[in-house]
Amino acid sequence: MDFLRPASWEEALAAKAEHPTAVPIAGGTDVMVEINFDHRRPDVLLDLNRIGELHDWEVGEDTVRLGASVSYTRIIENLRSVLPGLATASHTVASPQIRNRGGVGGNLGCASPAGDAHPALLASGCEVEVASVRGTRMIPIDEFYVGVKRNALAPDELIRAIHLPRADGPQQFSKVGTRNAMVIAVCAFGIALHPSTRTVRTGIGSAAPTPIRAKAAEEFLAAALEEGGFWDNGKIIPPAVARQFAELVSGAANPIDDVRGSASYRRHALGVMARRTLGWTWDEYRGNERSARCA
Amino acid sequence: MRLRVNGREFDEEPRAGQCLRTFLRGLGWFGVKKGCDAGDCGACTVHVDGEPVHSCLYPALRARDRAVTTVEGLAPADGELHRVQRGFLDAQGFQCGFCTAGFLMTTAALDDDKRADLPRAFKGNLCRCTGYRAIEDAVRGVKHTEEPAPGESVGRNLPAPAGPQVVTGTARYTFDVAVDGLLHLKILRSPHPHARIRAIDTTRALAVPGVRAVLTHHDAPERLFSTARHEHPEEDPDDTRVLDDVVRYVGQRVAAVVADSEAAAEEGCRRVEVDYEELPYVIDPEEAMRPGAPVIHPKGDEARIARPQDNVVGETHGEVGDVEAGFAQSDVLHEQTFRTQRVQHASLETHGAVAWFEGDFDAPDGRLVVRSSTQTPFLTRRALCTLYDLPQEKVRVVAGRVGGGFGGKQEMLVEDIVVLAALRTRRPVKLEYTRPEQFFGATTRHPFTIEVKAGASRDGLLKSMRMRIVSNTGAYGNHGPAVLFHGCGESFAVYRCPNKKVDGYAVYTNTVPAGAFRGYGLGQVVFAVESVMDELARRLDLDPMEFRRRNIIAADEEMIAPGGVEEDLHIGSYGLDTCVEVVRRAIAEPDHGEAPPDGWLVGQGAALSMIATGPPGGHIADARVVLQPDGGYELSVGTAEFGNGTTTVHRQIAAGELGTTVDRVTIRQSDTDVVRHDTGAFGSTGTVVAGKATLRASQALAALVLDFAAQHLGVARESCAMAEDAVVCAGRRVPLKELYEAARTADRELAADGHFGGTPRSVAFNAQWFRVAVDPASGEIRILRSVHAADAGQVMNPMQCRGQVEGGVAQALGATLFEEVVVDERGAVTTAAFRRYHLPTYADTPRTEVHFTPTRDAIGPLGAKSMSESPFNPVAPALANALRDATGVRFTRLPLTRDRVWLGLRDHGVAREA
Repeated sequence: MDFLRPASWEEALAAKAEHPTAVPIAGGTDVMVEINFDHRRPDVLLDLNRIGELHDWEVGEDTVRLGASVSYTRIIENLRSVLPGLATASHTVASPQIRNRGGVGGNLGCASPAGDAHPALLASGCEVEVASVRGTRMIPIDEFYVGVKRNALAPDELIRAIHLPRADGPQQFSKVGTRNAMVIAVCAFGIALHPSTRTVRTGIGSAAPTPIRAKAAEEFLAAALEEGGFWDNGKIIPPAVARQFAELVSGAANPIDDVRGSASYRRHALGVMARRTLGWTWDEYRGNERSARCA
Repeated sequence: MRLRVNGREFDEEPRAGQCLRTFLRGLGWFGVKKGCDAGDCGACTVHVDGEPVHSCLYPALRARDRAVTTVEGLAPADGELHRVQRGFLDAQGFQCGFCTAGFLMTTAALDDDKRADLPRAFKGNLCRCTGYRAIEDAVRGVKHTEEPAPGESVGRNLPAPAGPQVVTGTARYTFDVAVDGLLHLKILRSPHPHARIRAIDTTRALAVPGVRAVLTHHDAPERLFSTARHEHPEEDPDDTRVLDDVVRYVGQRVAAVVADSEAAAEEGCRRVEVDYEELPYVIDPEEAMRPGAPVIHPKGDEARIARPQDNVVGETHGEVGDVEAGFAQSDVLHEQTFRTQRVQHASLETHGAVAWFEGDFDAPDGRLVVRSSTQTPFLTRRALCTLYDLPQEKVRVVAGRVGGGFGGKQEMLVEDIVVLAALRTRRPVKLEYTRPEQFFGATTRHPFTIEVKAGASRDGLLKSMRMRIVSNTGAYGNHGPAVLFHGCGESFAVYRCPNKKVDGYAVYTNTVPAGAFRGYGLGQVVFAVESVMDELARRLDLDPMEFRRRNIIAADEEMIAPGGVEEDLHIGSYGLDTCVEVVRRAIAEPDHGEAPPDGWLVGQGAALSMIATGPPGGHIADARVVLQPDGGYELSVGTAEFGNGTTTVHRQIAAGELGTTVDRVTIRQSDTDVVRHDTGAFGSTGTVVAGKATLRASQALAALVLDFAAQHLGVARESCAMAEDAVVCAGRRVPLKELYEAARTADRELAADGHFGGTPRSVAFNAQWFRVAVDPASGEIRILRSVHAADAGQVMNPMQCRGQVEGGVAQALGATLFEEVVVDERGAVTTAAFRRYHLPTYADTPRTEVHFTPTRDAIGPLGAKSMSESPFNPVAPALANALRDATGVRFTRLPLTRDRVWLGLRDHGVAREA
């Protein structure tokens, strides 16, 4: 096994081009487990830790450019106001030790359906900046997850950054595990209200072969909000609408039975989380609207 | 690669892909512990440039030019302890101490905000022993320890002797030794649930550079044994070979590769070629008993298997009275089937052993030393000597500090193969289980299926109890019969009932073997019995505690199990009524504890249990106390310390009897060299058996010293008394140092032995009560209040005993709420990591209020009883009863996971939408 430690992004891309089977290692919180358990014996490990820019973020007018290796701890500490959904999800990632090391790039690289960042990324509508010696391209998050633990990266590509729209409305994340702490989610749900476009986006984790959006639920809710003038009048969402939204979220899932929970429970729990997170985000939206009006 | 560790510069090259933890341990920083390899347990936490990381997930090569701090470097250089280390000593925030280094490093990096949010801050650190209360107290600066005073030891909160080593990372656990020329052993395991090995080709494995030997069934003795360790080996079937030509579960040993490095041994394992003839298999115990099922152990009488052709390794059938007549006399009946799951001990130190030679083994004084993570050094030596035809004096078995056991190390799971490899290669050999191996290559709790029928009269009296119990012992029968028998004893006997009957079967299946585990079968049966008591009370419209009060045995009653009365078992003290009262007081305080969230269902429930203070058939301990040249004492006991605190108690007993302070008593222990014999640290015997031997030795030495002093001074014996560092004779103070000198001049050794055979035995009692809230939308259970009453007789060290109770409750809550070793349709374990097998974290563990009863036992040393296994036993039924009270639904299958609870509520129409 070789351990390559490129000092720059260009060196990293060259190394990846030369060794397309090299396994990139950022925080190491997934790759090291696989190596320790002998589940994976890569010929080459590509250590991205020395590439400073991967640890940087930039908050622009409309978007946040998040380096692939920015740790969850940094996201929680610095980006809560502009990326509330991702920050909330980051808060639930594993343990402080792991949050100090792991970042969104690793979650995207592994593309495990149980990764905590995915629902928030899907709900935000972000794009993933990937690069190779051939050039750079942006992959919309909706096209990023292509199969069980498979993503849209070509063998010679590396994840450089994630471009997330700055939150224009309330965002929430919720997950259900078999116990309180350090869970790998039984299932997880993220929701983002986008008042500027009067849309709603969602993300579901651990309830299908890949992280997915509940598109029918999003469309239903957007239409119902529009129809009732809720964006403007800030009224409470009728229970029937919330229930229908929850059912559509449940219906979007395609969970399997495994040791972390039965399929029917996952589907049900998703519905519960969908209703609750919708309630929380909508309450926050109404509160913001009220205080905006008062001001 | 250069890096700085604890202020010292190192220039060493790690391997690519090697983690920082392994690298640091290789440099001799043994304070960094290996617990899981996956960033789940936190025992390996170190600081890199001041930031806490799991060193098992940190590539060693990344530490280039960085500063690493391990627990050994936590204290400032001035010789003082770090304030966090001080805190863990003051609160005794550890038991086995294996997790402590990680907790210290995590705690040391907490700021005030994080300290205020411990559930989140401690998400990355697991403790299996304490139940976390003591750790929280350590972080919060609560001091529990008291100062020693001469002759006043028993009943006081004195600290564990190993504390200073535990908090500085200098306590030496099993694998914390550097042995020159060490070879590493790795095991190739069976991919099949049942197969005959037609052929094994080791050629390619032997060709791997660094591989020294490959061992197969051709190299193993024919002799059959049991991995279970008991004083009387005939308690277990002889059904196991070191390496067998038939494999009976996925994960069984097939071959062992011994090499210069673990990596080479692993590579060797991958290159062993095995030709298997697959055989039919069975993983369900009921199916295994049916005619035509595959016979897993077609062996003769010498194996002591009850009915090999039916896969029944042991069975029990007993009836007192006439249960059918009892049912006919009953006004209410309840009948239900209960199921318990496989649970892993999950001690943070895995199984393993290191063997080396002292001198030339073939010379008369040459010896083999086996350092093992064991609860039974003496019984393991005995088994090794039998297996390999070695005289006992040629083998020494010694335990370092053991990082947790819980019964899992009352087995010889590794020492046999390590010794075979050492004898073969004549080199030192080490085997350290990985965390996954703990799940598929060690043992679990026995899963039980318990069909109960019970009846009571309108006036609230039990009339009849009948049970059919099927215990799944897995592919081997270690502890199978004994766990079944124990499960059917005190669980029945604690209730007065004229008619009792049991039919119990311990059954082989092609699954990972079950073994000894805290409670030893009682937890499983108590879950069923106490659930049924609750139901009977409800049918009678009686308060369940009142129903229990009417039916529990009184202090002067016989303890009758379906199998009859155990002759050497007595109620040496009786606190059961007080335990019931503690629960009733808790019920009468509805405002205490956490408030339930809006819309959640609230209920309360309790359960009680009884346990014998030691196993049947005798349990032997020898102790020896010797006056030292410096006027202190040396106490030798054979029993092992794995966090249960026996060392603390033994030292207290000795100091008390000798009129001195505990710091003047040093201890040698867990070593076949230090005393004649010790059955081991199991069966709740550390205080009552080894403690009694210690008491006897200490009393005998005190008498001897007084006699000698009186004679030496020519005064009356009655005028002499033991003091801290002297004997006071008629107002004159003779230092013990001087007496030692005088005795030496007279060619006498001031030393005494104590012995106890573990019989007669008493019984200890426990009761657990919970108030819970249940979210009808998600099935989430929140514990609002937890109260535990414990009758441990005279409590030798309340701080430590409380820790045993808290730890037992926490461990039982894991088994009640979410822990389960899951096997697939071929019996293969699918939960072989802490990410898939969840242990309770700090956030999962409520504070349990512990109440001791003011009893003094007539049998135990100084009035003490045991309190190590028993807190586990009433927890699951108490929680299930509280859940029943909250929801109206009786849950009969453990664990009570959120999805199961929600599905149960849905099926009974209790579930609600969000």
